[in-house]
Amino acid sequence: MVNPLYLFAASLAAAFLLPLVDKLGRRASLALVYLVGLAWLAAAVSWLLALVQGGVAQDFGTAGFMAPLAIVLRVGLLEAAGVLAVAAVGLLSAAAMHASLRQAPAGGAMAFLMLLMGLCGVILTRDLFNLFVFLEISAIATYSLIGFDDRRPALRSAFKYMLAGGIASALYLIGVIYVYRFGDTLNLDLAIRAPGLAGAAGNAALFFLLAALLVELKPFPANGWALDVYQTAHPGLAAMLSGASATALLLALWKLLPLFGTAHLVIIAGSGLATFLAGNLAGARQRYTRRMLGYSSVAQIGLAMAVLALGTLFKLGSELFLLAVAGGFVLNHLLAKTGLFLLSAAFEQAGLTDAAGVDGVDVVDTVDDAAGASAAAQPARRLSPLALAVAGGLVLALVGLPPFPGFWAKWQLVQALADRSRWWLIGLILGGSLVEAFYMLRWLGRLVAARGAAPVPTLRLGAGLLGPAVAAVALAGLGVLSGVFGLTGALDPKAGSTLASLAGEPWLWAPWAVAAVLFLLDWLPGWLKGLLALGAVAAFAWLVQDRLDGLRQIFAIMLLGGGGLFIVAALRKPGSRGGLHPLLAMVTLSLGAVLLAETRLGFFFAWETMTLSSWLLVRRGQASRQPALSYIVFGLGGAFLLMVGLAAGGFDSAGAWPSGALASWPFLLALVGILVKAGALGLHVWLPGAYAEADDESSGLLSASLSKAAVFGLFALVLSRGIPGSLSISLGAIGGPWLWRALGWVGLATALAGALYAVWQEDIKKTLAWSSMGQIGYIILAFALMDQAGWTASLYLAFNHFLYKSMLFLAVAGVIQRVGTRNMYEMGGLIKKMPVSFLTVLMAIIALSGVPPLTGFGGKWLLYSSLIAKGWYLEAAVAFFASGVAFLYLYRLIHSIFLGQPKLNQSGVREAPLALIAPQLLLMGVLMALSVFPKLLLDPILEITSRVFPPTLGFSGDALVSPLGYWNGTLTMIVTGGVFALCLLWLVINLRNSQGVRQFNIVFAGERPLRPETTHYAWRFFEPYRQAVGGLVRSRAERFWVLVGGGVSAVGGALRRLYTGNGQTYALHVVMYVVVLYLVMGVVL
Amino acid sequence: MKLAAILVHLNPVAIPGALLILIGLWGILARQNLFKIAVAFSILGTGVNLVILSVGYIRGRTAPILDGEAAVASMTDPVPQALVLTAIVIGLAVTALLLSYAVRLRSGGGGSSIEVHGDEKW
Repeated sequence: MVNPLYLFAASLAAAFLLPLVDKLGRRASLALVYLVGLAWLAAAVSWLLALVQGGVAQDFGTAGFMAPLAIVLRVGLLEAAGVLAVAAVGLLSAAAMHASLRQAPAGGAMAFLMLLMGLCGVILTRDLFNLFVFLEISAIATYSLIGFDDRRPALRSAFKYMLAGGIASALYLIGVIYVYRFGDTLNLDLAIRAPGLAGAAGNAALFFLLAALLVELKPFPANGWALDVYQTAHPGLAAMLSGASATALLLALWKLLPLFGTAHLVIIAGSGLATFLAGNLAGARQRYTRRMLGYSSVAQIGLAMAVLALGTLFKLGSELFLLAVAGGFVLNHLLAKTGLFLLSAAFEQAGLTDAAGVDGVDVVDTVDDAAGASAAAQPARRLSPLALAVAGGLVLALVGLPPFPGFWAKWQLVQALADRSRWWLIGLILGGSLVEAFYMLRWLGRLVAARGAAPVPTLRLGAGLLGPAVAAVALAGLGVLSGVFGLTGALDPKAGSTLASLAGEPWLWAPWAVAAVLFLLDWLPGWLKGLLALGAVAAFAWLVQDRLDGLRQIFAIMLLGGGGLFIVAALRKPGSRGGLHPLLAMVTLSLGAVLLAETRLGFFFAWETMTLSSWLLVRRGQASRQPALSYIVFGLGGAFLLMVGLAAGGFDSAGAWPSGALASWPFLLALVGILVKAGALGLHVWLPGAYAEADDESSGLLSASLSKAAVFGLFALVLSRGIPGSLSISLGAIGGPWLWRALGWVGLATALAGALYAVWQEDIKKTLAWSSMGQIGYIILAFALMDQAGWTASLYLAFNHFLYKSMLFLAVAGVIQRVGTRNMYEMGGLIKKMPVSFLTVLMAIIALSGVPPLTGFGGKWLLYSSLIAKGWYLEAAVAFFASGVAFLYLYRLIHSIFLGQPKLNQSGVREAPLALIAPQLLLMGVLMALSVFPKLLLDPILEITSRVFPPTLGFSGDALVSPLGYWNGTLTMIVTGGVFALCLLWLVINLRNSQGVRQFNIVFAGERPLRPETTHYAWRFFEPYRQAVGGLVRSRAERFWVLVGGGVSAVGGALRRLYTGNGQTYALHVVMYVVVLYLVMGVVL
Repeated sequence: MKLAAILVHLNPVAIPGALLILIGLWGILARQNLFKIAVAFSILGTGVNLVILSVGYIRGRTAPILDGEAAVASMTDPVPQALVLTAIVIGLAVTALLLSYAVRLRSGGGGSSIEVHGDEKW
């Protein structure tokens, strides 16, 4: 292996020669800097290669001596990886700072070289005093780099940094000299075995060492200086600090860990967790991008710190496991944060100085106080799709979403903590993560420009995008690798098998693969992309068909079939419709992945993929910024609950819920997690906004198909879908009846509230959204019955809901496209202009309301009879009442849209485009077929449910027989059809007596109204009812969640008041922090 | 009597070092003038250096100069002295930087008080 001493020598020589080389021009001197960076990079790669091919860690002495006579440098796997990271980040940062380095004096480039060398030294050295020297070299280099391009605010921050750094270095010196005094050595490996360090005096000495390192790692609350530096320094330098510096310091901490006792570890863990929480809480309140990134940065470093200590404290796993999990977090943070800071550098380079730059980006930094004033005059610009994808990848990685390394690390960590019953730790970590996800995704959501009427010019980022793109690609690659081989797989193939991976489930990657390919082809015309997406879904369905058993087959029709329908519907508008088709395909395939997952990790992976892709789809909508944010926050919150439930389930070897434990809290957590996605009352506040503000075809996909994934989740959860395969649950294992009774009431409340809310809406999509929530409520209610009739009803209702809600959303998409508004009172009399849409809506609402002869009647009959058979009479009554309420809003769909007076400005309206009509016709056909032959659908459902429960339902001929009676769908249809035919005949016969009436040929009470077009009364249609019972549905849940959010935000707001901006206050924080830690250590000891 | 015994056993180098450290910390935390803060840092650094030296100090021994076999037994520990040299150099660099930043901050029109250089906050 290359001796690292050469590289130190080369760095120093280059730095000293730099002023000379600079005479040849700045180009030459900067080339020298890059060359040295490349040399470090190449050395690290060569070390890594040698070590991976079976080499062992090697020690390099200095001046011909080894320890204890001389300083020793060690090159092991971690050190090599660390140097590689530092060199890579260094090169990227240098490239981002290139312009500034060219203009500033040569000292900037020299300082940069020293920073690079200092960080590598911190990683490599095994000598405690040498560590101090390298820490100081990198610190001094950082101080000078902060001010090198003469940003005035940065000068202030540098001074604050120096105050904190100076105190830390004094602490370190005191610590190191007493470690020498009591341990008789400065060499780390000898100190670990030194007996003199075990006593109280040794503990105190080590404490000073630790305190200094911790202060450098920017713990709460002693980190105000770091936040100011992140905000004001050159973003390239911020990338270096947040990525490379933090990584080097964490590696130093890792190196020193064996020195420390339990008390020290408790301090590290506690301080790390506090930093993680406080950083994220305060981060949620930030207005400036780089300060926000700074908060996120200190939080993430706190988490990595805590994981390092917790792993040893609680013996979470082998050293390799710890390395993998902590390494996963560190690597994830390193790449993501580097990329994001570099992206912010690119924004700055592109001339974006303030809020108004990119359309909607009001969190980009004010570079300088003076520039802020003129910023309002800047024209709005938007990000190119590539820039958006890069930013998206980086943010999603940071938040720990699949497929990035942080996702796998988080899963492993939660699993390990759950195995040791450290619930409060899981709560803290996931809570902090959720807050971080909130503000990072809010930022990402703001980068998406609203597609307004006027085209917005694209922001040119140019080469500045290269660095972030490299980071994003590296993240994606590493994430996929750790997903396929397990986190440790890359480090040690043998150990890979002990950590969960998706090695056996290649199908789960399909959404990602297809989305990636389609995004690359996004320049193609829309119809071609639609066909490709459709082909991908069809191919997926065909390839996995033999993996689908009965239950999953039924859901596959709803999820994959629904996805296909809405991809067809997306052809309704000409043009490229950028991003729509890849996302539709991704959501559809992720729904398929949810069905196919065979392990708990796979299920969770697919679940998060679905949440994530559907969020992107929602965000594509016009005015979806706020709704999309609450959608993803609730989605992630639910997913976290699901994750904890799955991790803590205590499953037996077959993967089933342990008997008797079904009602225990892990199951409840997972259940609540799924109910969030189902939009159960109280957890539904994301639902109306997301359904209403997504693109019209996307809303349909969400409501008709995606909500069924939640229903599938319910079934899968009870059918011990940790590991599926068998469709049996032992009834003895089911939790107390109170649980299901309670779940039933949750469903019922959802149904009633959904219907009531739907009644007052003027926005047609909001009506359908609330209606969707209500219908899912019935499905939950029937599911909670936990017998064959109930489950049959539940599945039947679910399939029905899929059918009629697809039809409604398709028809409504056409109406909105033609009339250009979503307000029902602005529509009217469309029956003649859009007859097919009218027919669709009519059939759908007949099916929805449960009137014979269509399938809905069967569903309602099944529901009521199973409720009554179970003895849930009150529930049956309330469900019946809720159905009655549903009539009110269904009536409006016909009355306000298709009947009444056509609006004058809508005289040119035509029938909806074929892309919408064709799926509607198909669905109408299916609905009719299933209505005439209910057996087609009920046979497979009964087949499934009778395998799980003792059968009480059965077919006798064409009639479905329950203990309470029977329903013959075919006969019902014949009778109804006959009555209808008779009436029609009577009408046709009497048609010759009719008289044609033109619009506005109206007479009211013997008078012709002055403005006949106003006689179509549709605005606030149900106002009297609202006054009577509207109080029932005041938005209590919304207010509750607003209070929760406000509370969290207030805590963050209070915490950040600590950061007064005064350097001396920050210095005081550092001193107080150390004192408090010392006292805490005394308590723990 | 007792007090005298304690005083005799106290390390005559470490005590002034600790005092200087405390004075330096007080200066850093309590003086608002940027230049006085830099001076306080120097005092703090000197105190730390004295503490380092005190660890190598052994009562009654001579300077660590190898001029014969016997010298090893009668000399003080040379390592802390070597360390102090490095610490002094680093301290010098930090002080220089602190002063140069203080100058730039003041010439930038902010005044010498640290209170006025706190625009970034929360």
